[in-house]
Parts: sequence; structure tokens; C-alpha cells
Amino acid sequence: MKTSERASLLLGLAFLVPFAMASTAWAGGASLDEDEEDQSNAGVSFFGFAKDLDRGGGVADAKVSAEIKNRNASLVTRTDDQGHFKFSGFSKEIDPKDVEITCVKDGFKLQRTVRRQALGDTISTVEVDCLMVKP
Amino acid sequence: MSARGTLRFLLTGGAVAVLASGEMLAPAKGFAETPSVALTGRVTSAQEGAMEGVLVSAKRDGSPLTVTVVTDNTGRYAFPADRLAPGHYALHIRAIGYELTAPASADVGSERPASADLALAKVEDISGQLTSTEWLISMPGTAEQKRPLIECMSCHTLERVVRSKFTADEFVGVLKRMGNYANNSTMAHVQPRKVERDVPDDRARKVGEYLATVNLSKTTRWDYALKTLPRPTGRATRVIVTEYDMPRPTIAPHDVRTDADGFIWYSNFVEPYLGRLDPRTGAHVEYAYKLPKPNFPTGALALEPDHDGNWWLALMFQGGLMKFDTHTKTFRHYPLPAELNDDTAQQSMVMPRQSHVDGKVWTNDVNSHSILRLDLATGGYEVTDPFKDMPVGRNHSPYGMIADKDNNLFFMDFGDESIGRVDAKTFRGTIYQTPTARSRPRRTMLDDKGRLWFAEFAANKLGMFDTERESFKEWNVPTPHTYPYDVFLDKNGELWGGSMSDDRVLRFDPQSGTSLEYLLPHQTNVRRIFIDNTTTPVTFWAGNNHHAAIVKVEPLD
Repeated sequence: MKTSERASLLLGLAFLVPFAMASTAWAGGASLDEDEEDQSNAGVSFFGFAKDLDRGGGVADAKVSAEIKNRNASLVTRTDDQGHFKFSGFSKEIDPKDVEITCVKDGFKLQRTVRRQALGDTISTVEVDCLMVKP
Repeated sequence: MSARGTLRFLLTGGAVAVLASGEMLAPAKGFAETPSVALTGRVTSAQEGAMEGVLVSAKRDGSPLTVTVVTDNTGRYAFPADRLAPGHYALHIRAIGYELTAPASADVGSERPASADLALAKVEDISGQLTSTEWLISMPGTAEQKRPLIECMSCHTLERVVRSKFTADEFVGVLKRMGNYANNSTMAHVQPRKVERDVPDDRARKVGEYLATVNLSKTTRWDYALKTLPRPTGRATRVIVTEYDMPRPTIAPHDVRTDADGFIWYSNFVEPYLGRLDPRTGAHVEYAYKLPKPNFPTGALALEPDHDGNWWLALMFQGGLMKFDTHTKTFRHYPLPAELNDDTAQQSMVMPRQSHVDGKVWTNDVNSHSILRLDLATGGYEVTDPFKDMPVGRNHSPYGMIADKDNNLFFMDFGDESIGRVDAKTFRGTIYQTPTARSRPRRTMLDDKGRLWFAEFAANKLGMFDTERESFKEWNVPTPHTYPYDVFLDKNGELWGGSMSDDRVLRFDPQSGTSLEYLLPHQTNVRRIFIDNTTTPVTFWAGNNHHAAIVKVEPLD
């Protein structure tokens, strides 16, 4: 994509943001520091574990990436001490099939990922486990 | 010359204001290891005898300069001779719970040290001495109830809140009104926003109901104990603090930095000037720029140098960026394009440091939560929203920025809990969640090992993000309710921090986890901090955003 095309696209997207993000603020702050999140447009959340297939148990401090196909964006987090991770709800516009979860950890190789999701009309969460082995 | 020793010129044609002080001040960099003494004495009280950790400040008649030292464990203080020129000095102290029994002064001569022993007495009412941090520690309530108060400190201390008599109902209106003041407001210069914002009734009521339980709406005296932080001890007493008063009380130094020639430059948060202080002579110069939007709130936030040493300002509600050429002493404005330059446009950050690599300068737009990139060749801006496809319902706000050697951008998501990266070539956005939820990372720096150091404002933590390993480390700051605004890694591997709430400068060793805090002599609203690594020990610089001063902290070890 040419720079001008990209800029035009991004410019258009930027104008949508103020309407999508209805935040409030005190004089000096960037926000009201709200403790309640607006989940009205929330789509699917992802959670799961990075698992050590050789020894069993979780893989702590693994880098977990959620790559959104064709969106030029990714979200990165780390597993906790039990190997658990979570990405809270992406936009409803994001098809969960377009979100690819991968895990990386020094000393491990990602053998495969396993996805499980609830059946039904409303899918709210997708469980993804990263199965990791020593190379 | 006036009492502040200033001489002011206003060059109407060139739009440059000059303020100069003819007073010679102390050298800016370092001092002798065993300095001769200009003024010394002991500080005692009936309750404690010799008192350690009492700040003693000396201000010469008519001088814009205040020098402060701290008593040691024998109650003794000593001003080095090269810090106090001969003259008559008013002396003041800071020691929580105490005051001078009588006004104190000293005549400093040039031949032998002056002496002034100071007697302190307990104050009858300690409430006027509490910092915002101490109010937060004192007041009952949950962490969630107190959390919204961190926003108040941008404009004023919490003393204003707890001394108020507003009921919960009355607070709703007050909070709604405050939501319509510009971020760049101080009590000396309040600025309404051009576009009103709505604070939802239920949210304002929830906060107001809590505030009405900790203020004086139902009682004449707080029914909770007023708790205080301890005075400095040991190593934290080995410091000299110098405060440079600005010539107008409305000047609000926000970002403060030194240049290669030893000048101190600062952004003025509420007025259309770029300021420069010469700490060696006290000469103070203001460079005025023409307002792009005369009827909008004035002032700039971020101040950053480019590769050639020119200064860039993020113009907040004036829209766009301003470059100051340090050779020609002229400004060039880079306005937003019309489609972006609406009445809510707000650029708080600018990152020009690697613009020589690709001709691009990063900035942000607060209202639309977007990242903008200026093309220096065309003057056009590209726009991206790095959170467009991220989990929804969060209150994102790109804030502190830094660029790596390839001009890839790293930014702090001050509204939420992440650090972002925007690739300079592909514009690809990557969002990294901080380990602590709702951390609200604020300002940042990048060291030569590719590590981002940042303040986690709402989490009361300091953070490090290794850009190579893409991993985080976090450390709690030692004092609760500090809410660090910024952090700086010095040449010795120590972290320095400052905040808007506790009048203290944090010095923290991330290797050992040990820390100390230097108490400042006055109420000090610290924003961006800067460490001058050319001195030994290093020198800490910051602005006092609410009280028109620039502060220098020189540790003695």
C-alpha cells in the first residue's frame, strides 16, 4: 500500500475513534480512571495455557501473541507462574478465526496450538493452549 | 532592578520576550568535596532535642534563588560557601509537625562562617503541612474509592478537596465543572476547554459521595487521624536543593532539560513561551511564539530535542507541533491538517529525536487516542490508531513517547495498562500488556541497552520493558500513593523518579531494590524529570509545575 493510501485509510479510521471511545475526564487527567469497562461492543476473549509437554505443567513467562490477520496489529502478553494467559474481548468486528495465538519461550519450541470454543449462537470465549516441547 | 533582579524586554516584532537576572549564582556543576561553610547551625526542639532531617532553606533578600540543606543526625546543618553569596538571608524550615519558634535570618559575610541555631516547636494544627500523599494515606476508604483523586493533583493538591464543605450533591456539579477545564490548567492560570465534556452523573455522584465522607461537609474537623511520612534520615539528608523562582507566578515549567551548553530549557504548560534558564548566572529568557489558535487554551507539554539540538514543543490545544531553531532563535509551526484540527485537537507529546533517520516526527492526539506522524518534507501528518483492533471497552490514551535508532515508536498507554510499538516502516502496531493491570504507564526513556524505563502512574510502580526480549520488570515505589509521573535511569544504573503528590525525589537501585527519598523544601508538583549525567554525582532537574520554579537536586554521594 502506498503511503498516501495508507494515510487516507488510517485517517478515516481515526475519525471513528472518538465515537467508539466515550471517555470522560477531570481537568488534568487523560481519563476519569474508571473502574468499570464498557463491554457493550466486546467480542470474543481468548485464554489458555502454555503447557510443557515434556514435564507437564505450565510454562511461565512465555510470550503470547495474538495476531489479527490482515489488520496490521498484534497484542502481546506473558504467561503467569502457572502458564496462564488471557486476552479480554476484542471488538465484535473481529472474527475469532482471524486471531492467531502463538507462544514463544527460550528453551522451548511451540509444537502446536489447540483451540476449543463453546458451541452455540453466542461465542464469548475461545480457549487456546500452546503445547511446547524442548527442541 | 526589581526585587527579583529582572529586566524585561518585549520585542514586539520578533515575538521574543527576554527576562534576565544580573545576579551571579553558584556554579551549576558539582562543588568541592570538602566545602568551606557559609552558614551553619543546629536545629533543636523541646520534644526531640537535636533534630535530624530538618530542611533548612536560605533565601537572600531580593534573590530568586532558594538554597536548602538538611540537618544530620546531630541536628547540624551547613551551607557550602560557594552556595551563599554575602548578604542577608531569610531562613525557613520544613519538618512535618514543626515550625520555627520565631522568624529566623542570618547575615552571611565573606570572611568567616555565619551561625544560626534554630529552635522549633510543635505546630498546633498539622493539617496545613500534609502533602497529597499524606492525605491519601490518612483518609479512610478503599483503594478504588481513592483512585479517582489521582486526577485532581494535576491542577491542585488534595488539601483543597479535604478542606471543602461540599456535600455529595454539590460535588456532582463541582466534578462536572472540573471536567471542562483544560489539562493545562493550574490554580494560577485556569483554562476552560473549548469543547465541553460530559462527566456522567452516576460516575460523578459515586466519587462525590466518597469525597463527602472525607472532607468537612459534616464536621468541623476530620474524624480520621492525620498520618505523616517520616523526615529524611541518613543518606537522604546528604543533599543540596536549589530552587530558581520564575519571574511570574503563572509560569508552569512542565518538561525541563539541560542542553550541551549547560542551559536549562523548559516548556511552559499554560503560556505560549519556551523558557531558558542559565543556572550559572540566573539569566532567564523566554521565547514567545505566535498562537495558532488565539481563543484556545495556551501552553505546551512535551519538550524534546532533535538530533541537531533544536527544540520541539507539543502544543496541546493550540494544535500541531512547534520547532524552535536554537541557532536562529525562531519558531516554525507544523499545523495539523484541517480535517484533524478540530476544536478538540490536542497534542501532548512529541518525539523528534530520530527524525534525522527518516524525516518523520511522532506525536499524538489525545482526544482521538491516535498516533500522528509528521513528514518534515511535506508538512503532512499520517494517522494511526494502534488500539483500533485491540480489546474494546478500555480507555486508551497514547502518552509518553520515545523512538529507537530506526525511529520506531514506543509509547505509553496512559489510559490503560500497556506499552505500544509502531513500526516506522510498516506502521504495524504491537501492544504489550504490563504485568500489573490498570497500571497507566506515563512518561518513559530508552537506555542504550534497548530498555524502556517508565513510571506506572496508577500502579505506584516503576517499570522496565526490554525491547529485545519483549519482557517486563516492575518495582514498587517505597511510599504508597506516590503516583510516579516519570522515571530516569542515570549513568550509574540508578533510577530517579518524581511525582505530583509527595514533594519527594525518589532514588532507586533496581539491582538491590534499595531506595531513598529526598524531601523537597516546598510543595512541588513534579512532571518530566531530567538527570544531568555530566556531573558527579549526577544532578536531578525538574519543574515545579504549580509554583513557578525550577528545582535542582544535588545528592552529595
